[in-house]
Amino acid sequence: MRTSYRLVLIIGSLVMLVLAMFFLGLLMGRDPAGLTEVITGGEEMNIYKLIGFAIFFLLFLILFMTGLSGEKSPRIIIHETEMGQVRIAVTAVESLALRAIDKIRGVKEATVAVEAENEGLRFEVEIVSNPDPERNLPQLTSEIRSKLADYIHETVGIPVIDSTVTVTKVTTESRARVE
Amino acid sequence: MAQGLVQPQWSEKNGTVRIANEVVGIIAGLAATEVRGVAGMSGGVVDGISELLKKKNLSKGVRVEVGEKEAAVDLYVVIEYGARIPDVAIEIQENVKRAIEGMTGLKVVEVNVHIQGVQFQQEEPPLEEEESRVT
Repeated sequence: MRTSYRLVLIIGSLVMLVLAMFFLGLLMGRDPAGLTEVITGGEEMNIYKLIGFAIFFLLFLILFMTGLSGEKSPRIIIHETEMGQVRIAVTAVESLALRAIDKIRGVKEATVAVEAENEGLRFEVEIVSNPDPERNLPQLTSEIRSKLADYIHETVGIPVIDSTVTVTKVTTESRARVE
Repeated sequence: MAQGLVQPQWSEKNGTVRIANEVVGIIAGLAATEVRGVAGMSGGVVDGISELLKKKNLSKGVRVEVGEKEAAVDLYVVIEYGARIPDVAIEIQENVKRAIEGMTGLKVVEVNVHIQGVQFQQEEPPLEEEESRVT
């Protein structure tokens, strides 16, 4: 569950609690916060009414949009086994591929996109490279393709049918050693 | 998952034994998480809300369908970085099937494993040994 949803739910539930306490207070003949005065009061209470309206309307909008939007169905890769299916989220494969590429010397940054087809996986990789005096770019891209294919086949169990590596930038800035 | 429904399982001489769907879910969840290479279960919105309300949700990331004699399970898991997905998935399927069948007597017809993500452990930077200035 996303943190923003949790936050909205917690705030929403707290507002409900405050309202419940307010009505309980009215039931017991008490109004410690003077809320009835705000509701029944004249124009001098308009600012409080406006704040109340803004808070509740905003909360309504967020909850309503959260309810409507729903989660997008994730892209998945399906393996059939004797006992059922193994469904692997494409994002999981992407993060694995990214990890494999990131470890290659000469790669500073990388982005990966995966497309699942019947025969296997198709990768599109974009990298920012650090110049390496010992290897030229074709050697680097060739190493990326080969390591990616081996690693994904070994870890995910699905062959890589094609991978395209694009070097978007060459930079001399060294990779940060700490996050 | 479970929705708190109870399904009649088998009739004993002295009455009927019923197993709640949630029990099957918990068995499946525990069996899945004990497999090497599984980092944890991945819950949806409902599991998130129930985790807000109670301390620990043992059936998080588990959906079960229980009939009178059969059960089908869907497991939403996050695996550890470095684990081989097909091996882990098959081991999860076997372990969950064995656990449910062994503990409840239900026949497990399907165990679907959904790999939702990969957990990377924090890598510590290698310690650089300082060269001694004196011998």
